[in-house]
Amino acid sequence: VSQISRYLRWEFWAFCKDRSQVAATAVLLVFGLLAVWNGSRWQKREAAQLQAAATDADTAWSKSRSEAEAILGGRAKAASLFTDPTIPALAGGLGSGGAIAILPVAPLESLAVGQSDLHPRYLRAALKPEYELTENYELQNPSFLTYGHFDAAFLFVVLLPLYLLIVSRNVYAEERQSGTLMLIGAEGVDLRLLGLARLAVRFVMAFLVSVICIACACACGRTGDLGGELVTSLLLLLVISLYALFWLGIALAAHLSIRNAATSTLALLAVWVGVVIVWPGLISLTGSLLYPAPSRIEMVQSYRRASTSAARQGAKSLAGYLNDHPELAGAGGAQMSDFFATTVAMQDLTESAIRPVLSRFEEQREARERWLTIFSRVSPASTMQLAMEDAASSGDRRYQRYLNQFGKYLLQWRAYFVPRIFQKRAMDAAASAQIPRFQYVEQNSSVLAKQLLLDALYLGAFAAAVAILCAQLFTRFKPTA
Amino acid sequence: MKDALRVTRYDYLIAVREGRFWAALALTAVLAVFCIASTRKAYQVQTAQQRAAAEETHQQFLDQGDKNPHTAAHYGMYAFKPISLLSLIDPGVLPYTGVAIFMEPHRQNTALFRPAEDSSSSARFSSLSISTLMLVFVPFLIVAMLYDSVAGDFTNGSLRQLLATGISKRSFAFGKLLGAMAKISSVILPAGLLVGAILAFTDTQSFGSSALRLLLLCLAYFLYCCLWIMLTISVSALAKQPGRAIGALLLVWLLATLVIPPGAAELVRSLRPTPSRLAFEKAVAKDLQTPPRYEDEIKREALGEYHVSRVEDLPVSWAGVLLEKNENHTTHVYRSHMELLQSDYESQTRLASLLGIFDPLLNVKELSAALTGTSVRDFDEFTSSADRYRESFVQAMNDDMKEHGTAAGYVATRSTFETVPKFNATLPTLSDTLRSQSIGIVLLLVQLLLGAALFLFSMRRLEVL
Repeated sequence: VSQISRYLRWEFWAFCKDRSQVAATAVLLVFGLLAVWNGSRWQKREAAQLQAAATDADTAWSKSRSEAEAILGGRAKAASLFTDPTIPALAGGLGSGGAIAILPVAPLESLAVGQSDLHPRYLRAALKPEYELTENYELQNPSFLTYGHFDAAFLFVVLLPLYLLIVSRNVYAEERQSGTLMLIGAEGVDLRLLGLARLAVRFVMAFLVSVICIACACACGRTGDLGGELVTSLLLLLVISLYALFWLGIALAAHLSIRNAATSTLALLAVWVGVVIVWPGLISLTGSLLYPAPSRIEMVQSYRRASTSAARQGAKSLAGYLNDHPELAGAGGAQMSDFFATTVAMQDLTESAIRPVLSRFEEQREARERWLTIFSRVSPASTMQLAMEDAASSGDRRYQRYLNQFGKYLLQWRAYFVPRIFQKRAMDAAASAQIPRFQYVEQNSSVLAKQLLLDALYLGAFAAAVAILCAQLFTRFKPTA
Repeated sequence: MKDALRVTRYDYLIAVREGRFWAALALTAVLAVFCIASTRKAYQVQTAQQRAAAEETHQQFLDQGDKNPHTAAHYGMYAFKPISLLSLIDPGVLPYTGVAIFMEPHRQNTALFRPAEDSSSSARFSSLSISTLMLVFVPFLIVAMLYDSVAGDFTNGSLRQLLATGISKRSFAFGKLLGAMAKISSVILPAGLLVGAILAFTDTQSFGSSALRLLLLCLAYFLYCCLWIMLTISVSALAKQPGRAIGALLLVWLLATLVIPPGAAELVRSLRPTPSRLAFEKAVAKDLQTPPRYEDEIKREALGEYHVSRVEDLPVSWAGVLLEKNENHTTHVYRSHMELLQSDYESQTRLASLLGIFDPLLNVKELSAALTGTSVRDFDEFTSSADRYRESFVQAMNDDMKEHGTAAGYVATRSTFETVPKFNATLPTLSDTLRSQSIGIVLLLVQLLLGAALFLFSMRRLEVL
């Protein structure tokens, strides 16, 4: 133990005396802070936009409710049929009304922008087809979406391995080439322990930078749930540590097997390009080949065909609909010439007609996602990216959860408004108070912890495999060039 | 010249005897073929669907049945974005822009269904294409294959031997440069030919019409590679040690391909922010609100135009007149806001191009997307042409309403709908594309000149002792 601590002490001082190593660490730290700052600016911008959207929706709702009260109280008159807020179809969003369903910004979202730059953050609940409502994406220059974001995920997935490979370049190869490694060995130094101590110092440096970045991200997006954030942060640090160990293992393996310093640096970089860029790319391309993306064009055309067919039937649609839903027909209820009732009936018939197409679309999409998710696990870089998105809650999982909740909310929305439309019950204050409201239910923090543990398990397996390789290479290790 | 060719031959022969040359050649060819082969089928399916849907949407409009012309306009049509064959080389912004626009009266809709939304983050962050290979992977290969091109000659003493045979430094320099180009071309050319053959086989007709764009694209990639070759040889000569050369070159590669592009995008986003959807929609809604007495003004104008004193005496339908004027107003409002947004994006892209002085990848990436018809500008042109078409068919219906709407219960028939032609998306011509990329092209040429100057400087400083 005293030998190990002595080596660690030496190597720590040697690391601190090496200006290039210190500079590389400083650059990593600066990049890390810059990445967190970028992420936190993104997080704040998103939060501000959500706030603005919520305020706007509240203002519009209050205005329409006060207008409705005035009309019902006989103090005012609607300018036209299509601007009357007492009509349930209009309050339900058959035109421009409706309510908004917000996906709140997650506390650690500054760590990874993930897919949140693509997915809309708030959707409008209205009496319209769901696919139309979920297309409310944010306006931004598409050219920049191709570059991605300089966030902490980019730092940990792409730059951290590079940092580790660069600062590990003098673990053995350089000294072995210059002959000093043999001299050190001749002094009675255990070269295996020395190598491990060197890697340990580099690991500690990377770990410290990771701790600082994650602490800053926590400070930027802190919410009430300090315990949950702490657990997520600790698990993320575990994932990052295992990813770092994997790369340090790769560096050690290269040093043990390649004797020339420049060749080993090149080989390490080639491995890095292979693991971080090429391998995940090949997995993704294979996924596209085996499971092509479902066709949106086909979906939209199916919807069009079904809605045209329902529209052709016109009043017959309403009659058929009322036949299927006798509870909606009643005294003083919808007439065959009722525009709003006919529209809602046609929408329902259209949606029923294209349900098989939508199901097929969803199945194809899910099969593709399943394949990609499973095979992403074959790549440490993709696993790390997924872990970052899990921790930041900016990936597909949370968004899919939001869409599922939104889908259920739409059903509640329709269930509330459709009977009112058919029974022509005016939207008074009491009715407005009963309109269902959307509240996103965050997943249990234990589920997130399990996901991160799973990510850690995969990366641990990669790190263990590389450690076994290194152990074998150590048996053939010679300090001479 | 003879001496230079001797150096080239010597350099090339050594390279082909090394494993890394063959490994690079095989890897490039396999990756390129895999990239294009895996997306080829999807292209064929999507193109067929897009063409069929474009045909069907027009047919649906014609077959909608007799109805009021304005109601017929509200039935609307979809504009489907055509896909360029060269998008197989560089998908550009295609995954991040919608594939269809619903065209209807009173509003200009944004494009729906971005392919990236239907795919997972793992697919997004590991997207691989020929352009990624050319812009990121090939520079890495250049660095890996050439980092010791001069530094290796320094350390193993062959430079001294070569110069001792009477070869001038200039011949050595040009010989090295030609040798490097020959090596890199030998690695890329087989992959390029395979890609070209697959493209031609995929869609012969489109291949013929895109040949000039493809040639210019190859030229852009070639110049980009030349820049990296000159930089690599220069650094190799200045570093004099392979270890130092590889360290410096990898740092440059890392910065140029991975760090600067997203960093530049963040910088441009913060320097030139664009409005959010909410702000955009609020601004449009504000301008859409008609001023008080708007209808009175239209009435006065119409009465004056037709020299009558009452709306009832108008020879045209008053409802048709109102719809026409309202459509003019809404089209103007939407178009002006959309143009403003597009000009915001253009100014962001221009600023990113200027930042390309520090990183050629930024310019060549934009140039590549423009030549393959997958740039923001191509998408904007598509949305603009869809909006012009939207305006024309809506106004054709309004004109019909204006002309015949005086008769009670008038309905337009198929013959009226047939006056609306099919939608044909206009895309920027090659000269438009090149003009829009002029800053990038000039910067790339300047960078090539700087690269050549660095190369000459490094060769002048070449000392054997």
